[in-house]
Amino acid sequence: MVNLNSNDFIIEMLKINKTFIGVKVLSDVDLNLVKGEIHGLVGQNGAGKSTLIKILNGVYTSDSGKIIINGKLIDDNENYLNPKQYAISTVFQEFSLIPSLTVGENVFLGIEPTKGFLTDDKYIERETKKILNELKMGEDIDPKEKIKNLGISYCQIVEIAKSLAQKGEILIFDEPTAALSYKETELLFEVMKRLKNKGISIIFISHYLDDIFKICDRVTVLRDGRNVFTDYVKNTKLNDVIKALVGYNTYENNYFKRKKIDKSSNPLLEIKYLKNDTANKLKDIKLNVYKGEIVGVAGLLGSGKTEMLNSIYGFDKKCDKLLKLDGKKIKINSISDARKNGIALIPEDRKKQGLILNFSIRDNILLSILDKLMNFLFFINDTNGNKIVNNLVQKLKIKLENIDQKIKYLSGGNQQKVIIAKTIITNPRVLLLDDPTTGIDIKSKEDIFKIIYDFTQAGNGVILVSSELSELIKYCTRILILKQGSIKNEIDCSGIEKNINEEELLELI
Amino acid sequence: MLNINKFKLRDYSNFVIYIMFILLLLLFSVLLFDKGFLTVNNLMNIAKQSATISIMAIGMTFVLCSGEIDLSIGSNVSLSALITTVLLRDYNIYIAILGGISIGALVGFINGLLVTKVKIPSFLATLGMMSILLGISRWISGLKSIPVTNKVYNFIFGIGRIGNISILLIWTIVALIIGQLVLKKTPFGRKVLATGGNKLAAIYTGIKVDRIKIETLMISGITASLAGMIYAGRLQGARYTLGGADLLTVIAATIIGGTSLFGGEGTVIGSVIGAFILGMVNNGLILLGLSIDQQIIARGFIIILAVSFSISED
Repeated sequence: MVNLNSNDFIIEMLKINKTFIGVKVLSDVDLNLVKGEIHGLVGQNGAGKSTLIKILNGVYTSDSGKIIINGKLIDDNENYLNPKQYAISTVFQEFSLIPSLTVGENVFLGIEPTKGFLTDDKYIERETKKILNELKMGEDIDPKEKIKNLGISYCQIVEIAKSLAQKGEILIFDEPTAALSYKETELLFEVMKRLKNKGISIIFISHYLDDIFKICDRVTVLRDGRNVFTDYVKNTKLNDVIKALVGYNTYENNYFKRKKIDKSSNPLLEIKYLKNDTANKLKDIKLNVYKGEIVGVAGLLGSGKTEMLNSIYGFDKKCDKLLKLDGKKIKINSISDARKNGIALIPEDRKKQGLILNFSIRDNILLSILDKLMNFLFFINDTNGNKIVNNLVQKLKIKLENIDQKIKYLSGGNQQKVIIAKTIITNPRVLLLDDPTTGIDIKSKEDIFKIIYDFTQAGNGVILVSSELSELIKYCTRILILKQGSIKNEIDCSGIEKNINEEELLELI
Repeated sequence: MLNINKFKLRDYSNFVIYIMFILLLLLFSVLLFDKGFLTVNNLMNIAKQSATISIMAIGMTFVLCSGEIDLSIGSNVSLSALITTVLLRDYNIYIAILGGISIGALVGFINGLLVTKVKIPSFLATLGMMSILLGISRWISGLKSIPVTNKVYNFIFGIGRIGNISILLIWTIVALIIGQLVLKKTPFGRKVLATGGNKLAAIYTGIKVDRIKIETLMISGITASLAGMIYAGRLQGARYTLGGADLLTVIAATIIGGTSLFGGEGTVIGSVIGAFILGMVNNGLILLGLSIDQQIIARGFIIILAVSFSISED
């Protein structure tokens, strides 16, 4: 650690603790920000980054701990911090700009200067121009242009201008480069450097370690809700950060044995090519899934992971692809085509894409096989339905009061099990899983992977997209690295106990 | 207090509509005892008056449950009634019935295409359709009424009785049973509720939500045309003004019956009881001797009150 004195800090957070429903999210976290520095904040999903930032934003309060901003102690933990009062401003991942308004109108949103009863548009235009000039972007962005006509990187610059107009002195950037191209990232870094020279202090959150090393003065690593590393970037090696990120926890062996995959026969699913030019570009993806295989896909936000699954599944229709199942060409133009051919997907967002929240557990599970349950009177055969559901509930160990209970009252892990139940009763051959364990407890995670493993052992295949690297390493027979829409690397883990660790994998991404 | 009892309230809200129905029935029975509210004749009258609203409310329940709305039913009523009566005059009863139903189904189908393929919100698509249909009705009828002289038709769709029971009550009960079974017991009904409950999840499950929406709008179109044919039979003639005031009554009946305006929740039986509540209120207010102006005002208050009871806050 470096010797810095309290006087150097614009923000000093000391021994911050936060617990959500019995789960400790932050324990004794210290974070300090020197005036005029760019401070990198990294950590895996669930490490506590967002919680920490949300405390600074006044979204949450801390349970205990001290926050000192500009020498002023904010001691009352009961109260939400008012970010405006302390000139803290956040540039969010999803931009908070209003597309139908102009650049100037967005920059001065909520603080519109007035002339009589009307907004002073001339002033807005002039001042916006001034701020953009300071960022040396005055040439590129017209204050009168509507936001919807701007590219994503310019939108980010407008966000920054907005923060400055609102007199922000401390800016928090939440994963700003995730959606940007290389050139756009360079542009953003230029602007950040100019901000720094103006004396503005920046917290920079990113998964991209390269970016951290390029732009930050210091870096802090959070792991499992603790600050495990803080130092100057110039004294730090990439490996130090990776070690801090991953920790040294080793994974216990369990039922799971990685079997040697028989690749002599036809692959179960063959993706000859897959291209998608919309939004996140997928370029010529080729991929085989063999019987019994769990193929893992790792990649950063914006690498096209979700888009890849959606394109295979026929949800995303604007793609060009050639698929073969058991050596036979299949056509998938819609989700019902995919289902008919035995390809099923478990979507990323449990509540928005997976469940009908006001339906019962039973009705959610049966939703995928309604037509098969129809009797000669066109009615749903409830006796059969109940039998199927009760069977699954036992097999998947879904914890519930009764099957007529509304699904919204179940825990996340049990909800996810219901989604898996409703998917596997359609007897798919290939299961596409999009981050199936986000936000669920460890026990349910284990249960879910047991189900997935059993599923593959019956001669089926799985493509598993996950942002949790430990999960990929532990369960996959192969791991593919997806980068900007193409597969950049392939690691074969079949038949071996473990031949890659998280550090190596993280470096590949 | 509301929050503490939230769970109980949720269960209880399913019965609110029945309790409301019984309380109103009791109230009017006592208040209007000597004015003959509780006579078989008067009750049968209420049932007859409520038939068209009930039948349309059944169709509307399907549309609302799928997360859409159909504003074109009012003018669909008059158009179907006019087409039916014209066909009845020029051809025969079979062609007339088939023609009337087909018009309703066709209107619903076009509504469905506008909503799912052209992607116009149903509120606007059916609002436009409402105006188009009304214009056509005025045009083809020349603003005149067309009488129905066919005795068989009038029996089936209006004045017939089986024993002591009006044929309109039988129509209502048949529609109620079919509607309730389709919505609650068939795969189609379950898909309708899933589509309205969470469209995206329904899509990911492989449900063809566009098709479901077209089908519910067709059901609504067909029930509207059936209501139009009943009007023609009951009044023994059709005019472009038929059904003009029914749209809001139908929506009110459905919402009072516990169907959600935002999709995913609703019962057919609730909607029919909602229609009967409104019919009973109409009848009661007339018997109370209120002037038409006063009736309209009182009805508004009662609708607001009833809806406030049946909408469950979430």
